Amino acid sequence: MTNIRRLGSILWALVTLLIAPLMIIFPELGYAIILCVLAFSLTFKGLGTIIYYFRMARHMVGGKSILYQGVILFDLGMVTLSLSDVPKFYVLVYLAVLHGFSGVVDILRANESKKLGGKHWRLKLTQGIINVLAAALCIFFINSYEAAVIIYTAGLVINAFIRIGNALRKRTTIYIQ
Amino acid sequence: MNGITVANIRRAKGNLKISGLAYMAFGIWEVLKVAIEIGTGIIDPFGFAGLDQYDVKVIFLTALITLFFLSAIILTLHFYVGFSSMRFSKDPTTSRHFLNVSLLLTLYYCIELPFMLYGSFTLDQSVDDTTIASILFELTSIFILIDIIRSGRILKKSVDKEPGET
Amino acid sequence: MQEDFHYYATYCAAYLAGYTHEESMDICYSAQFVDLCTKTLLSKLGAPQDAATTQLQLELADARTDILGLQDITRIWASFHFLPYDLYAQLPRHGRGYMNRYRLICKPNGPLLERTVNIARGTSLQHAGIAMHVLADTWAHTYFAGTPSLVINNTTDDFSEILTAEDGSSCTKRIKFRHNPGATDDLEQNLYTNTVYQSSEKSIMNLGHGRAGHLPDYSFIRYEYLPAWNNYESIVKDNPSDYMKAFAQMIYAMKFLRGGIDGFKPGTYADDTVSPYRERINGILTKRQINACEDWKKFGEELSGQTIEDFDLNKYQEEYIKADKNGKSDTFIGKFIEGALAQKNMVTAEIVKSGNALAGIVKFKQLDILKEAGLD
Repeated sequence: MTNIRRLGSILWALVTLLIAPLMIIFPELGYAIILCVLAFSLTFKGLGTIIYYFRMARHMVGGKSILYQGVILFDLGMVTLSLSDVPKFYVLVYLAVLHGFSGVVDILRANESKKLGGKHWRLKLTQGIINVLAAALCIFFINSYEAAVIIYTAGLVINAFIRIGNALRKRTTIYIQ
Repeated sequence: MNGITVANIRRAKGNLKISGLAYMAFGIWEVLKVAIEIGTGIIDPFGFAGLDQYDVKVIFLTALITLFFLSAIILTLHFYVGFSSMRFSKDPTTSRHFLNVSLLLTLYYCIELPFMLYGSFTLDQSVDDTTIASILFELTSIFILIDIIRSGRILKKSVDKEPGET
Repeated sequence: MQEDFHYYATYCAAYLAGYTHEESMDICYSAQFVDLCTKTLLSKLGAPQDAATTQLQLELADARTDILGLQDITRIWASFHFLPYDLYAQLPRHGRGYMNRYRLICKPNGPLLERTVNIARGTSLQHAGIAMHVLADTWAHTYFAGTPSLVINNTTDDFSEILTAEDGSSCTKRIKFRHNPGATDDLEQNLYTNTVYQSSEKSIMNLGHGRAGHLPDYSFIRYEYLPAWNNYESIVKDNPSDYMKAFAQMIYAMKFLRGGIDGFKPGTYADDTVSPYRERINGILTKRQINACEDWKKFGEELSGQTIEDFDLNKYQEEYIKADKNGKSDTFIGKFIEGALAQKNMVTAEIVKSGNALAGIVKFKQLDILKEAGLD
């Protein structure tokens, strides 16, 4: 991870730590911020990926996968944006599912890292399990809305600390020279 | 080899694999998207708004069953085309029926798209960000299917014998 | 390429080109030093950091990947390790962004190689060593570019080693890759380390031949793979043959640098000089081993009858540190720095002249070096 990436990761974690209590104290504002940030980052990432495909990656072997990724990201961003005027209940379910999915991806990546002899798969696995558990508990307690919000924000906070820890640890990376 | 180069065959195999995987992913996302949009009330195809509690329960059940079957059909088609495509890329001697299904699906999308545009621009009067995203999604689905059909035909041609060849 | 070729093989080539043992040591030391002269080292020596000829892992980890950072990376890697072949290559229906990267693909015997050798003539042994490093790497690092680029430097996972049986028939064996930083390549199991696939165009993981692991640096291996840029055409890389050509071309280039030949022509090799030793060299190149230092060293010592010192990074550092400001350019490292700056500025200027912004700009004060050499 480059230093800039580390800094970005830490900043993002700090922003999350700021927003998490806002979801409890000023729920409208907190939800709006999370949704907007998520929606815009997904949309622009999707658009950027699509533009990259047409500019360059279409000439690359296997480049079509980049186009398909871009379209899905863009669509995901648009759907996220359209959730801004739906009841908070549904937003929470949506966010919980997204985190759960992200947790599953983390678990799969940790498994792959372990198979390939990577040293830091445990941290990734922990992060993945926390995401999945938080998502599952959120959905389970969805009828008790306040409890679900607390579980979700607790998940956000734990993730933020893991992200900071991840950014600060030493990494072994291969650069073939 | 029927005038098809090794590079073309490699390209066709690569495209079938990637497009097959993409088509399955698109199917999953399509179903999820509809579920999210109906679940959160962004769209209300079953007219839940303005109904009393008893009516809602009956219609909700009907809606759920309808959605389930529709999702099953969509996913089955996507996965059939996707898996067959990936399998064909590894072994071009396997069944090619999926190419015909892909052609039918392409025609379906091509017919559906103008109706979707007509609905958004005239009936709904609501051309918003999700409409644009949906159009892009449909166009990409058409692109994927055309890619599968084209690559499938190239691969099919590469294994078919030329006249007189034993 | 690795120390076995850049240090020991370069020594052998220099000796065969007619240099003395001491001169050959200076040349081969400089050739190997190109792989170790980092900004960190130069900073420690109080030397100009612009003269860096490589970036080690920690520096790459800290490298910026914005436009300025990428230009800095490209300047170093394209100038010393992935010399571009054709800065004016044309491909129909390909955008500017793609072509800028495509034109940085490294191949041997390009116009820039001729300039690299020419600007080293009449200068120092250190500059000759730098030129030999660049020349050798054009053979090993063929088909990769010295800029982070997914669309050029990516490959598929389909790598196959081409093996020749005793009866002369050939067969292929699949090469397996893993991403384990700590593990050494297992030649018996055909298990090698490479960089992880990164879908970001400008990721450092997409610099150079990372996706092919160390395969380009092993002289014994012949392999086939599918690069991202070649329209699904596979590439067969015959390292023993390429390394032999690199060796023969180094001898030819150094004969030119010594003044024994008028005019350096790419595509020319000192085959007559190599011929008595071809079998011996072939034996070293085709021996299945990760590191051929011992074999090349033995060959070099047989040639000259002298002992070849092992490479010592600290050898000339004190000389440079202790020299006064005016005397630094007369030190070993001082001469190396001059050669490195000339090479870097020549390549950067050529890239910029071709309309490609990936290497950034040439600094004005360093343009003077080029003007003096009549190279602007």
